Amino acid sequence: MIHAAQGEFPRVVMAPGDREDAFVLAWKAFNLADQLQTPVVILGDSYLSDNRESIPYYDLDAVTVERGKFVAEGDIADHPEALGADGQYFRYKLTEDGVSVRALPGVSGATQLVNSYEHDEYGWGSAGEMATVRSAQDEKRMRKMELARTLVPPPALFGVPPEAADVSLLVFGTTKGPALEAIRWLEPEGVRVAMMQVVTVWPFPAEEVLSFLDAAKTTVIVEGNLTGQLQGLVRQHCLRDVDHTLHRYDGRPFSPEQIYAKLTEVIAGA
Amino acid sequence: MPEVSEVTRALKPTWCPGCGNFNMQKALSEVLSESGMRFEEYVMVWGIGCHGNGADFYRSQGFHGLHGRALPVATGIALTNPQLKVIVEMGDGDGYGIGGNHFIHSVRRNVNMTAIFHNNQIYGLTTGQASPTSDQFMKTPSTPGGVVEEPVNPVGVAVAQGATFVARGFAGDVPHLKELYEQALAHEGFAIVDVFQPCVTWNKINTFKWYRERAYKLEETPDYDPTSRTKAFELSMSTFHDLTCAPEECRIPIGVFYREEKSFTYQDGLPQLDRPLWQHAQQPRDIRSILEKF
Ligand SMILES: Cc1ncc(C[n+]2csc(CCOP(=O)(O)OP(=O)(O)O)c2C)c(N)n1
Ligand code: SF4
Repeated sequence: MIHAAQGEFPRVVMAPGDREDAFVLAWKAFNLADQLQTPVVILGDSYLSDNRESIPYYDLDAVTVERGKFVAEGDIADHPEALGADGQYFRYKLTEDGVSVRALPGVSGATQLVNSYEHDEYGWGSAGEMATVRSAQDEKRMRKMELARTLVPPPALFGVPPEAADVSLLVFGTTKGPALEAIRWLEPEGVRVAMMQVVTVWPFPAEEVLSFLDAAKTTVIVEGNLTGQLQGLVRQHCLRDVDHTLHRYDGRPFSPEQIYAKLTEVIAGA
Repeated sequence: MPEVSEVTRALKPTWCPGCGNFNMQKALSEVLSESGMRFEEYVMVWGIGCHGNGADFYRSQGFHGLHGRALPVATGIALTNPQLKVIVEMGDGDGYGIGGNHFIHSVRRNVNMTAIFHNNQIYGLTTGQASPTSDQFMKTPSTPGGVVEEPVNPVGVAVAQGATFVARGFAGDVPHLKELYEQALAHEGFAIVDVFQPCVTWNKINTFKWYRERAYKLEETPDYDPTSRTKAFELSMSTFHDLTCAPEECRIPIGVFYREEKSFTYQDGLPQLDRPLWQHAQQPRDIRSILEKF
């Protein structure tokens, strides 16, 4: 999801941990896709989609529709920021934040070529073959990642703060549920656990993860894969490693028992 | 009304001199200009290939996407804003090979749009490999021993699948091609125009001369009846001929094979298309009443 590409392009990947996350991230994903004009991926799994659960009402009042730099009707001449020096509409105009005004077909004056080939500011593919144009468009697209960082949902924190915790847990996706359950079981035993759920996996929230890890005494990553995908991101972007890991990759979700046992073992050894 | 010089670009197309694509562009740009449609009233969508490079030679609201995927994109556009006229340009490799699945289902759906196929019976852009419409036993760089399989019969497939407008043109006859384009654009439903477009560089068999010696106009035949599906299907069988057939042995019909005046289009089946879809998505919808059932 993060690396699959034909050439480099910006994207957002978000991993819901439960139904409420899925509901909230779904409408946020649509908004982000419009605001950033780039693909947004919701990383679900079977545990999330194949289970039934009764849940309280979602907070429907929180839902907003954000279309970003979007012109759906009228005349593009009324949007000077979308035009080049000669008054021509530029679908791929070079902008500071990397996002250009998107005019729907049907908007007066908005001739454009939406192009899967590299292209210039108008969309012409032949011009996109020029080295300077290619680099400028590539850099423009990638600037969206900086904007994305300001818009995407931050990691979610549970339990006690990492400074006060005996053990601090880093997870993403549906590991959230069984992990929270394990934490609840540990509470009566006097074990204090901090947990950070990485909600937006890409762009990776390096700063937040780094301060979480640096504040923690003992760190554990629990993740549902063989190779340590989250751990790899932590190493790459935070230049840190965790003290312990727990993986599950037999096609089944974690059980709370499994996480409870691991945390108990970590604390006993600490 | 936009002039021909406005719907095309003042840029010399990169097609090989003599390529059939030039006449196809001439025919379409003249029809677009004469139609009086304003730029905001139509959208053009291209596949990938020499035909698709045409995206750079028109000035329109255009979309140049992935190889073989022009039809799904065009369908999306047509179903997003029913007020737009959608024109798709594809190749034979593009539209009948990698995009063949979309072709069949677009015919089934009868989406209101026009699909033009630049059929040169070869992969032009990638230097002359056999395409789905290359004749059996044709030798190409990818089939040094000759094409093993029978060609796709686009007209026959479309007619069999319930198409509501199927025509075939020839890039060597611009006035006739213009007539076909005009009828296709006026058709309510999925209009197909398969155009023989000689690739002068890679296809040394199906040349302008080859088609000229074999093509005849359906409209000029005595018992012409474009409302008969079985007749159209029968005529489409001209696809299957010997690679080296003499002109009198393989007569190839061009013109409108089949048309259905009043058909149920995909758009007709979607009441939400009373307005462009973006107008539905301006505010979050209140779904509380749906949730309350649970
Ligand atoms: C997914 C994908 N597969 C393969 C290609 C390589 N490719 C580019 S054009 C082409 C065939 C073009 O033939 P046709 O559709 O007949 O168009 P023409 O060039 O003859 O107009 C191929 C195979 C590609 N661009 N994308
Ligand atoms: S390779 Fe063939 S189809 Fe492509 S531009 Fe040249 S003549 Fe035309």
